[in-house]
Amino acid sequence: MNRTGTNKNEFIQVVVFTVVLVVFGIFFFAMPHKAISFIEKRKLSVMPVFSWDNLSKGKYTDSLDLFFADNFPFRENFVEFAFQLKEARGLGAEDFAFYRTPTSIKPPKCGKTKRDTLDDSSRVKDGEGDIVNNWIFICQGRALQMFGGTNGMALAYAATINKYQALLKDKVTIYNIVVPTATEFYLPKEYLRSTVQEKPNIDLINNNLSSGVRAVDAYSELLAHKNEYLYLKTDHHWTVLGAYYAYKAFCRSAGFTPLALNSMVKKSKPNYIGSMYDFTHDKRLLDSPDTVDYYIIPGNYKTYDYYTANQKLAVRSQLLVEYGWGYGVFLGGDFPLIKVETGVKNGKSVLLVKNSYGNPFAPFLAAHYENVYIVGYRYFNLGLINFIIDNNVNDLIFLNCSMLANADWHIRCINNIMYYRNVPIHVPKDSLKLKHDKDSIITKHVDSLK
Amino acid sequence: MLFSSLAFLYLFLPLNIVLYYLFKNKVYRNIVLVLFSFIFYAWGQPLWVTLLLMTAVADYFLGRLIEKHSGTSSGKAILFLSVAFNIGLLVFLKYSGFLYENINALFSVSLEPPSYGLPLGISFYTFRSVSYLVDVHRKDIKAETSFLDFLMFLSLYHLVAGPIVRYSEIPDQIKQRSFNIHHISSGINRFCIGLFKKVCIANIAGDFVAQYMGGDPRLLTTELSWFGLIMFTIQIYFDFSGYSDMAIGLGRIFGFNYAENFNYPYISRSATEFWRRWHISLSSFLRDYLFTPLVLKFRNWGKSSAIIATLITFTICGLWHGPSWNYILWGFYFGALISLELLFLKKFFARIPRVFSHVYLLFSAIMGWSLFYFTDLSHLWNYLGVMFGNSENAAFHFEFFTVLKANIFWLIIAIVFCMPVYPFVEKYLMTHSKFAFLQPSSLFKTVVVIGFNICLLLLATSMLVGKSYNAFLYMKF
Repeated sequence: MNRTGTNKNEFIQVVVFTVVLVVFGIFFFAMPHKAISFIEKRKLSVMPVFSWDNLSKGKYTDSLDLFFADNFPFRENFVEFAFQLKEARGLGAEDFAFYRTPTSIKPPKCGKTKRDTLDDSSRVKDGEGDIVNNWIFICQGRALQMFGGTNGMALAYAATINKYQALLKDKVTIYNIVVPTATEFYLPKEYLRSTVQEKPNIDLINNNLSSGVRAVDAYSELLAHKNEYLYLKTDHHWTVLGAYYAYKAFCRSAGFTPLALNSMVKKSKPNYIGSMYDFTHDKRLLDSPDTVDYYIIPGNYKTYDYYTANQKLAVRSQLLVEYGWGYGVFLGGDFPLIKVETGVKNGKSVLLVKNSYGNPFAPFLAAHYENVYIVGYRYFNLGLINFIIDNNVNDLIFLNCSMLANADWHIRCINNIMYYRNVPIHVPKDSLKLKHDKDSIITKHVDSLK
Repeated sequence: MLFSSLAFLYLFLPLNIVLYYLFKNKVYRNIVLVLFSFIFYAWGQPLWVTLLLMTAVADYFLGRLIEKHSGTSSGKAILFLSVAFNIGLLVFLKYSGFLYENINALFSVSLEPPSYGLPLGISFYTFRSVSYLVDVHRKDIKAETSFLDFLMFLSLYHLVAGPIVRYSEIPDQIKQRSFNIHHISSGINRFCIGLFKKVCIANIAGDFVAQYMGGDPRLLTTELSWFGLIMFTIQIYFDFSGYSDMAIGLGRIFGFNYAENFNYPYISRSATEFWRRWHISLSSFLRDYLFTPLVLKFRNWGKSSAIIATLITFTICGLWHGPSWNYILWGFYFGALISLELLFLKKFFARIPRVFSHVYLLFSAIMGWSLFYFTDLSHLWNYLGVMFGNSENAAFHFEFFTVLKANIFWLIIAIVFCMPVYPFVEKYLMTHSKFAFLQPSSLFKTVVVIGFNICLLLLATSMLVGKSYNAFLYMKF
C-alpha cells in the first residue's frame, strides 16, 4: 500500500470536510440576515435578547439554536431541497396527504389544577378524553382537521354553560355559539368516514342547554355561504367572513341589526401561511397561501389589554393590530382580558368568553355595546362570576368551534374560571411576539412597567 | 446542544477541531476538550454543569482514596460509599418523581415530588464514574493522578449519550493521543454516516411515530398501528446507533478509539444475541458489574443462578432507561426471554430452519418496543388491542396505502440499512481486484469519499434547516 499516497489523500479529505464546515460558519456571520422566509412566508427568528434568567433556564440557548437555524446560509435553497427530498421518498406526489398529530392545541395550565372545581355533573366520563382531533387531511390545497367529538363531551360542554346560567340567570342573558370547522363543509365525500359529522354534535349541545340560554344557529348561516372564503386553508382558524356570518346569526338572536360588510373598510394581509403548515410542513400549503382580510369597525373605541400577572393593569392596545402577523391582526393575539370602551352610549355591556377562534368575531361587538369584555378562558384568573356581576355585564357570550367545545381541558378551563384561582399565570406566547415590534404601543407600556 | 443541530455542526465542531489541532501540547489539547465539553453541557442547562464538576472532583479524590486503601476493608467501604454517592445522585435526580408516585399510590398520601429536571448525560457519566471506581478497587487500572485528565474523561462531550466508555478501555488515549490522519478521516466518515442515520432516517421515522403512536389508538386501523410500531422500531435503532456512530466518529477525529456499540441487532436470532448487538457498552457494563457478581453470589443455586441474575440485571437495565414501570417491565421482558432461551428455546430454534428464529426475534423486539414506548400502560393495552384486531375502524384504510406509497423508497433504505449492507459492500470493493481504483491510495477513492461525506452532510443539513430542536431519544437519559 502506498502509505504516503494514502495519507495525502486522507489529509485532503479531512481538510475539505473541515473547510466546508468552517465556510458555512463564516457565511453565517458574513452574509446579511433576512427578516422573512419567502418560501415559508413567515418571519424568521431574530437574535434573542440576553438575560441571565433566560440563560439559566436554557431558553436563551434554545433561542440561539433557532436563530442559527432560521438564518442559516442559503436557507431558502436548503428548504426547497428538503421539499424535493420529501417527494423523492416515495412514488410520486398525490394531491392529498395525511398527518396524524396529537391534539393541535396544547392543554393550558388551567385545565388541571388542584382547585379544579369541576363537579360530577360536568366530569368527563372514563374513556372520553381530550382527543377531538387526531389528524390533518390535506387536499385541494386546504388543511382539514378531522373531528372526533363525542356525545359525552358535547353534553359536558352544555352542562358547563348551564352552570353559568344557574348562577347568573337573573343577571345576564347567555348566548351559546358553537361553530363548525372547515371539515364539515369541505371534506370530499369519499373521505367522510374518516371524520365525525359536526352538526349532530352541535345540535346536541344546543338541545341540552337550559331554557334561558339562547342557542345561536351559526351553522345555518355558514352553510348558506359555504362557497365563500369562510375558513383559512393553511390555518386551523376561520376567516373574518366566517366570523361575520356567525356575528349575523348572533345579531338575529340578540335583536341587533348587524353591520353591513360594505359599510366597513376592508383591508387584507396576503401570503399568510398558518398553523397547519407549522404542524405538517407540507409544501401543498405553501403553494396555496391565505389572505387574512379584516374590517375596520366604525366608531370610536379604546381598547385595553390586561395581561400582566394580576390581570388588573391595563395597557392600551387596538382591536385590530394592523402591524400584527396574519391572524394576529385580530386583537393582537390571545390575552386573559381585553376591555373595549366604545362610543355606543346605550349602557349595555357584553362579555365574550373565547379562545383564539373568537378573535375575528369579537371586534363586531363594539358596534352594539358600550363596553365589551373579551375573556380568554385559557388565561383568565379573576373569577368570572364576580367579574360579570361587579361590571354589570348584560350579555354573556360563549363562542367556540365544535372541536374545542368537545375537548376536555377546554371544558375544564371554562368551568374553572368561574371563581378566582390562585394559580401561576401563563402569559400567552402570542402577546409576547408583539414585544419585539418597536412600533408597538404595547411595547412602550411593557417597557415602562419594567 | 445536540450533534444534529446546525449550531453544533457549523460553529461548535469546526471551532473545536481547529483549536484542538492548533496546539501540539497534549495538556493544552485536553484543556480545549474540557472547555468545549463544558460549553456543550452548559448549552441549555448551564446550572447542571456544576454538578458534573462536583462529581468529577469527588470521584477524582475518591478514586485515589480507594487506591490508597486497596485490599483493605476501609477500601471496600470507601468504594461502597463512592458508588452509593454516584448512584444516589442519579436516583435522586432521575427517580425521585417515580419513587414519590409509587409511595403516594401505595400509602394513599399526596407527597409532592421535587422537580429538578434531569442533567444532560447523567446516566452515562454516572456509569463511567462507577466503572472507574470499581476498576480502581479491583486494581484493573491505576487511579488517575491528573485531575485535568480525569475531568476530561468524565466530561467528554462525545459520550454525552453513550457509548459507555470505561476508563480501562482508553487510559493511554487519555494521556497521549497521536495525530493519525487515517483515524481522523475514518472518524469523519463515521460521523457523517451517523448524522445521516439520525436525521434522514430516525427523524423521519419519528414523525410517523408521533403521528400514529402519539395519538388516540382508537382512531387507528390495525395496519396503521403496526406501521406506527415498526416506525418506532426503526426510529429507536437509527436514532441511537446513529448517535453512537457520531460519538465514535468524533472520538476518532480527536484521537480516541471507542468500541462499537451496535452491531446490526435486528439480524439476531435470539434475545441473547440481540443484547450482544444492541447497546453493547451498556450490556457489557451490566454483565461485568452486575450480572457476573450476581452469578458468583448465587453460584450454589446451579442453573437458577444465571436465571435469577439475568432477570435482576435486565430489570435494572430497564429501570436505567427511565423512571417508569413500563421500562422496568421492558427490561424484565427481555430478561424473561433470555431465561427461556437459556432453558429450552435456544435448543428448539437450533433444530428448525433459521428463518423462524429471525422471525421470533424480530417479533419479540418489535413487541418489546411497544412496552418501551408507552409510559402509560393503559394506552399500551389499548394500542395492543388495536394491533391485534380490536379496532373500530375498517382495515386497510386508504391512508395506509397512501402513506406507504409516499415513503416506499425511504422505507426500503431504512430496512436495508438495518442489515450489514455497508460493511459487506465495503469489504467486497476492497477485496476484489477489479475495484483497485477504490484502494485507499487512489485519488478516485478520495474523491468518492469526500463526495459521499459532503453529500450526507448536505442531505442532513437540508432536513435540519427550518426544523426546530430535535432531541435524541436517549438524550433524556
